[in-house]
Formats: sequence, C-alpha cells, structure tokens
Amino acid sequence: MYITDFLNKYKRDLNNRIDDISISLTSGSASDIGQYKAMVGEIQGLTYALEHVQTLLKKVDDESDSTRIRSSTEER
Amino acid sequence: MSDIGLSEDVSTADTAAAGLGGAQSDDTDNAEAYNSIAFGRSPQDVYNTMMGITDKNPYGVNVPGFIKGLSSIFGPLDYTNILGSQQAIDAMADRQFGLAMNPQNQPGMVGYNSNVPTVTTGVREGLTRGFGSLFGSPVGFSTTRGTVQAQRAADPLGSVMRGAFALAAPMSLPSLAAQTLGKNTYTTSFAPDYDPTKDPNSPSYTGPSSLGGIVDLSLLGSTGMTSTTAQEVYGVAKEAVEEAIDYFSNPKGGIDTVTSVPDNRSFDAFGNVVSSPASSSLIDNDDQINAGILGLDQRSAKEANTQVADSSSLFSPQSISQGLNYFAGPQIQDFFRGVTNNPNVTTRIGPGYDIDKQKMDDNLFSINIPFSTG
Repeated sequence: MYITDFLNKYKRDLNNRIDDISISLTSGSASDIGQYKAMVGEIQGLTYALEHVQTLLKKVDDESDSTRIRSSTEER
Repeated sequence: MSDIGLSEDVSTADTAAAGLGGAQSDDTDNAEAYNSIAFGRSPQDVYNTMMGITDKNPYGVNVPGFIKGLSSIFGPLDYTNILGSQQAIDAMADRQFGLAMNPQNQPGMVGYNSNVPTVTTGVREGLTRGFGSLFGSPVGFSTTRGTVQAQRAADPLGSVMRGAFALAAPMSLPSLAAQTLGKNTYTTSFAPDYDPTKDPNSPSYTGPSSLGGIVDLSLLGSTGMTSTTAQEVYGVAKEAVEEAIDYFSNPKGGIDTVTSVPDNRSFDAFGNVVSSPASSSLIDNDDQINAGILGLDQRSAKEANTQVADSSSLFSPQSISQGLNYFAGPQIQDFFRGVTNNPNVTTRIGPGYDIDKQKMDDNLFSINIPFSTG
C-alpha cells in the first residue's frame, strides 16, 4: 500500500468518526455538560489529527512533484 | 453556505419540514412555522433557520437534549475553534443538511453521496452506525422522513442476553453488547418499514430491552415459550460467555498491562483456596513461619493473601464466572425457570469446578433441571 493510500484511508476514517459524533450530537445524545464536552473535545482532537494528515498528504504530493520535476530535468 | 444543487420540489420539502425541528409541538405547527420562513428561500436556508444553524454553528441549537438548554444559557455556540476553519464548518453544515434531506441516499436528490450505497429501507450509511456507549446513537436525528428511530431486531433472546451482559460489564464488553448478541437497526419515523412495536423508545414497544425484559419473558414461559426457544437462549448465552472469557483472558484497550501470575492454587468443592504457594513456607529457628505471605502476622497475611488472590485471579475463568453469575445469574435463572415452568431450575454461567474430575470443567453454561420420578 502506498503511503498516500494509507493516509487517505486514515483521513476517511477520521472524517467518519467526526460525522458519527456530529450526528450523535445533533440527535440529542449529549445529556449533560460532561458528555457534551467529551463529544466536542473528541471532534476537536479528530479535527487536529485530520489537519495533520492533510498536511502530510500535501507534503507527500509536493515531494513527489519535485522528484518528478528533478528527474525530468536530469533526463534532459 | 452551500452550493448543493436542489432537485426537490417545494412540496417534498414541505413534507420534510414536518419532520424537522424536534421542538415543534405537532404537524400543524410545523407546517405553519415552515410556511412563515420558507417563502423565497432555499431549502438549506430554511433548514438552517429551523435548526438554528449559523455560520459558526453547523449543528444548530434546535436539537433534542442538552444543547438547546446550553445555548439558552451561554448564547450562540461557536465551533470555529473546534472544527478549525470556516470551510470545515460549512462542510459539516452541508453534510448535516444532506443527511437530513436524503436519509436513504437517493440519487439525484440533495445530499446524494456516490460513495455511499442507496438504501430502500432503513437509513443510509452514516445514520446506521452505533457510536459506542459514550456517544449514543443517531436516534432523534431529524430528517425529511421523520426522526431516526431504533428498531430492535426481532431477536428477543439476543436482546435478553445483551441486556444481561451489558449490565454485568457495562463498559468492558463492547463486542458482547453490540455485536455478538445482535444490535439495533435504524429507520425513520415516517418510513413504511418503521414498526413502533420494535422501537425501544416507543410506548408501543413490545420486545424486551433490558434485564426487565427477562422477567417479562419468564412470564411468557408458561404460556408460549418452546424448548427450541430455550435452546436458542442456551446458544446465545454460551457464545456470549465464551466471548466474555476470551475478552477477559486477552485484555484489550486500556487493560494491556496486566501481569500474568501463574495460578497453582487448589480449590475445594466450593471454589475456596485450600493451598497455595504462599503456604510452602519455611520455619525459622524459633519455629516461626517466616517465609512467604504466611510469615507475616495474621492480619497482614490475610490482607496480603487477598491481594495475591486478587491479582492472580482478576482475569481467571473463575472470577469471570463469579462476576457473571453475580450480576446476570439470578435473572437468567429466573428466565429458565419460566421457560421450563420449574421453580427449582438452577443455572451457572462460566466454567465451574468438576468435583469428580478435580478440575475446571469445560461447560461454559449449564442448566440443572431437577425432576421427580415419583
């Protein structure tokens, strides 16, 4: 499995979890402030992780682009 | 906020409005509320207004439960720091709107997602998952087809056992509670496949939901339960106990640092320890027992012995058996007494000690049904 496939899958899982908690939040599952804070806290943590994954994906993309450019320059 | 294309006519959205906004009192009120805010506006604007969704709050405030009260105390909720960016908030609002408008993921409708299967009964993926004991379920989520409702599968036996074991170890056996013994499915309250008798939150619900259900079933025992039913319960119970033992024997999640302690103890017929490594002690020059736990004074020795026993038997089959029998045993026994119409039936969950073989037996679930020959 390529690293980008892995990161994309991980990103999808994180998004799914955010969606799940969001639906739970809007369906009234938070019955007190503690539960509400736990849910929102997890969404915040997942969002943070998601941003990191997106940054990594972009980095991998950029690196592969620059590698392609470098090798095509060398070929010439 | 959204660039989602609209492919529904207003009459569809009108029907939808009746299902939105959990705080509305009845359909007439809903229709009036909808008409007063819908004219000349896009369905998503209408949805956002009815749910209290804003540029900073993609979840809204008109939702059941705690959040409504929270916003009335603290004012408008701002999730910008939670979701990280305005783009993420807008995307979340769009997703919520899509799920609400198109709970079955019908192609060509608002909120259609080509990566998710279309369903004809129940609700689409994303509204079907259980979210774990901490995070509840999608029940109560408002959609165009009414609110999402749970449908407890027609497996009263699974439900019985699930209730029993969930109580026995509410946070410890996720797979027992949610998978092995069956789980809820979800649909919407206006859907043709919605059956209020299968909805645990409906007054019309007829199935068992918890330990209370076991009592109900035991009452049915003398009138309609068959031996096949009893066999099914036996199978479910056996599977559940096997998984419970496997779970405790191979700790997962937060219990991964348990130290394994060899258990060389012997037991009497009642499961009491009759000898242990702690007894293999030495006698010193003054004929005092100084080695091992028994070398301690009587009070300390007892305490230390208890601690050793606790640490070595925390995840032993016996302690599991004792725990399950303590928490769920009486209810399960009552159930089988009802099934067999015999008040003297006894049950045992988990492995027991076979006096004849002088070792733990392999039966994970046993029922003793005494009968008289006279």
